[in-house]
Amino acid sequence: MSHRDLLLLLISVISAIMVAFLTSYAILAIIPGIFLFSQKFRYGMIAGFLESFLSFMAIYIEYPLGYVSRLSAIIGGIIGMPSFLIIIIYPLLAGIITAFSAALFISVNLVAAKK
Amino acid sequence: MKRKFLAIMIVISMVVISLSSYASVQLQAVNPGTGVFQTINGANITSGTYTIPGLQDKVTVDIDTSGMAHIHASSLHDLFYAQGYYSASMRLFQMELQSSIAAGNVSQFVGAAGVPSDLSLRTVGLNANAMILVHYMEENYPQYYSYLQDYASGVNAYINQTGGSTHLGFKLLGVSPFRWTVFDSLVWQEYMAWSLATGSCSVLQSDIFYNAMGYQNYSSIYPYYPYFTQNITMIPGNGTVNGYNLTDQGISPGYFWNLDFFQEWATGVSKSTLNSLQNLLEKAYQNIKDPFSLPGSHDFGSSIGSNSWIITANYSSDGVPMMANDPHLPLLAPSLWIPLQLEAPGINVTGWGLAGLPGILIGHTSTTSFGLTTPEGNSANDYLEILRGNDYLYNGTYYAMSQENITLAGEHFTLYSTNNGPLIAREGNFGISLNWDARQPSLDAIAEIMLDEASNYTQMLDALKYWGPAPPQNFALVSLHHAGYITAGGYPLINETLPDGKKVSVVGSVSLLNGSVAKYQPSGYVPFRYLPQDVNPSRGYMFAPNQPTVGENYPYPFVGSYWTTGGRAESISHYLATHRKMTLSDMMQLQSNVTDYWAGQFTPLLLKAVSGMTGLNYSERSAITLLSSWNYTYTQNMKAPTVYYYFSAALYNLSFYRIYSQNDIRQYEPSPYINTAIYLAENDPNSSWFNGNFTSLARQAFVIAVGFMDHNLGNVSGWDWGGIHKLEICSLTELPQLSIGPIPVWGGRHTVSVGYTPRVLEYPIPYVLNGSSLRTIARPGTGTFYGVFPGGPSENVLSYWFDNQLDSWLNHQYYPMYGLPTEVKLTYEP
Repeated sequence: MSHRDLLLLLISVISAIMVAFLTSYAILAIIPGIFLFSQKFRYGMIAGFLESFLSFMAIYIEYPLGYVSRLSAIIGGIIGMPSFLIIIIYPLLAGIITAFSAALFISVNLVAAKK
Repeated sequence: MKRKFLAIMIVISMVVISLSSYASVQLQAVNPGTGVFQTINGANITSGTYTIPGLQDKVTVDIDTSGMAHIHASSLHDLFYAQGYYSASMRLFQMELQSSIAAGNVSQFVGAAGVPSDLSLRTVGLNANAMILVHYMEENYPQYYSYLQDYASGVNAYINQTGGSTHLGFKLLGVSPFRWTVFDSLVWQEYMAWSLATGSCSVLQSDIFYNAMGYQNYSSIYPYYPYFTQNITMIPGNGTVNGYNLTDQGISPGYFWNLDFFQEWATGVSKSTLNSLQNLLEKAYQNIKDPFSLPGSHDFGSSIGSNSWIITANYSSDGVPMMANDPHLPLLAPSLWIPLQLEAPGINVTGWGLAGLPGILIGHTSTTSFGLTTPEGNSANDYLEILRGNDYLYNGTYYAMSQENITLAGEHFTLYSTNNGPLIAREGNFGISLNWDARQPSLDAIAEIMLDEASNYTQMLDALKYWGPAPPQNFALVSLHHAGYITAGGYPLINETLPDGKKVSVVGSVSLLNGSVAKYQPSGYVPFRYLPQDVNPSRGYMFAPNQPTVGENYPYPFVGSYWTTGGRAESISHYLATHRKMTLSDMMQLQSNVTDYWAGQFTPLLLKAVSGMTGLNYSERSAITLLSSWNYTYTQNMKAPTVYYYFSAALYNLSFYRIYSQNDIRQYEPSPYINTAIYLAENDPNSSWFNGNFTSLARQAFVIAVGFMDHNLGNVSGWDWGGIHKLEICSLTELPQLSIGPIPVWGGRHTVSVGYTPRVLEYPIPYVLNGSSLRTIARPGTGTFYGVFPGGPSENVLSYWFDNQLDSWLNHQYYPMYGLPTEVKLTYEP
């Protein structure tokens, strides 16, 4: 991995953390994926997924674990979902968005390179 | 890499990103940063200083270990401002949901599902009444209006600072809080008044019964004064108030109370006309039954009520008066009440306020205490209207009905009103209008604050001159040296000319009144001086658990009245009569009483009926043994209450309900009075209600009941009362996940510490949803005040403060209302 790729990966990680903690909107998880355009497909997608999934999961550090568990059980009961899914579903979506954002920008980068 | 593959990847990526983004928008509620998890931040209330623009000076809020907030301010402006801010911080979603329900706007929260409720309450007119009240108070009582405004400003200051981000309800619904106004407080006051209004539905139900079964049957089931209750009225004596009674008007109570007030001379509606209106009556009943409603006094024989009693100085162990009060209301999570002390120059009051309204409604000062229960004389009557198109007939002339067009969840509706009130149903050229006295501005909010400021008995009485007209309430009042009651509020009077030509003003009607002539229009209210009232009664005590308030010689007879059975009144009466020199401990013991007076009367009759039965199986023999040794108390681990419950339910099915079903009125008659059943079993055992033979019917019922228990509960070991009798403290959202329970619970529908549940031969039986919404005992003379309620100050389901008093409430324990250590100290600064 070149220094440039490493730097872009670092920027991607930082942007994922910023998106999670400063905006909390999964749709903005597209942004970290942009910086992964120079990665290989597999690694870019895996890295993108992990960056956003873990960043959004890390938000729960702000809360006492017991409350998170109780609240997820309550909300799960209301909307008919298992409580663990209540906890991970949003980070999961953010991870998927970044993973496919990375795939999108890697593809675009490769198409551009072939021209 | 092939271009084709890359193109496919681009398309797939865009599709997945779009779908995931769409899903993330739909699932914003579970966003860990901005969704429901944010409400965790509101679970812990921590000490600190908060800057609140709008305050004039520093305010301190000390939350003690029981959850009571002691608010100390240096002006009334700051006091009510801080009350609004604190209430919003604890209950913002509840307040806004309640206000929306009351205003008929809940469909804005929940969509089309809320339309039936909105339509019902818009039809009754809560929204319109509240708007009238807002303008009336602003114009005529600017000082008190300003307190309501201060409260609203406090709520809005909280909304401005937080956006309601820590309140789960807003997160779940994906909505933001609206700005609170004086209207929102007053429309909730209107809602509470409506939930406590007597008449309305009851009049419709009694007409439905009368049409189907005639006066003889009606009066045998629902006599004007329920059986056995003539001598346990709230005001001791024969009904004379301030020296005035019915006899003074030349009318004998014996003559008066034997009259049939369904007759045309009393209502202006002929029997044949009334008989032709059965469909219209049923339609009207359905239209004003709000599906979201708090169960209240509307229903005929609902037996929902409250307890209070006062002890005079000479009957108290310490030589100072005492008061006990536990209003029975829907038990909600969070509670309708919020515990508070409000202190500022000119006011120092402690107790419970209604979330959404400034002031304390049930509470005490250092020299006074006040509590309330509902008297069940009509404050709402129904009128028969003669219609032609959109016009109504009045005194020979047709007038146009006023119209209001409303849109609820995209649907358009037109509401009509006549001079008598909103039209609640129509069929052909007949209609029924609701005449409820809340159409007049009800100054309850003013009376409440004046009561909070009062320091002696006279000032409390003066405050209550502002109460009402809706809803009339029995106020238990105690000061340092006086103890008494007054039923404050407006009882609409109808001028009647009796068959003997005598004229008398009566409270309400049991039947539809003719709305097209002036004769039956309300002619005013019972004068304050002659409202049911007494102070320092010589016998040493008074009590007001919804039994008849006054005796048969009362000068303004309660013709329209739907008193409860008096079971709790009997228990309280017997206890107080035998406990001279009452102590605080006696007061608490009585408030915790779970003995059913009526069961004590009925069980021996039931046992006598089954005593000669032969060939009984093990379960049947066990059931008889349990009933024979029962002391008529209802605790969770007892089995006899279960036997009694199912036995009496089976008996009702075979007797009253069978006949109601045959006459197609079962759904309008929730329950016959238990005292009626006892009276008939004792005095007319061959009554047609018992199919001609009480003993035979009771035996059939017994076999059915025990068979039912065997089948559904298993053998005798599974018959514990707590196994079937359970409490659920519901969330106003009706989501079980936000509710508390089910919890096995003591009590029955007639015990002082009540556990209401309908009498039905079903398993499981309906949960207990109503009961003592708070319990308080006050002795101002010694500065001793205790209280408890089934909840806590916070609506945050995760918070310790959500239900911190529940266990104490379940165990009939109390908190001292002063002197507890401060748990959280908040300082509000301008």
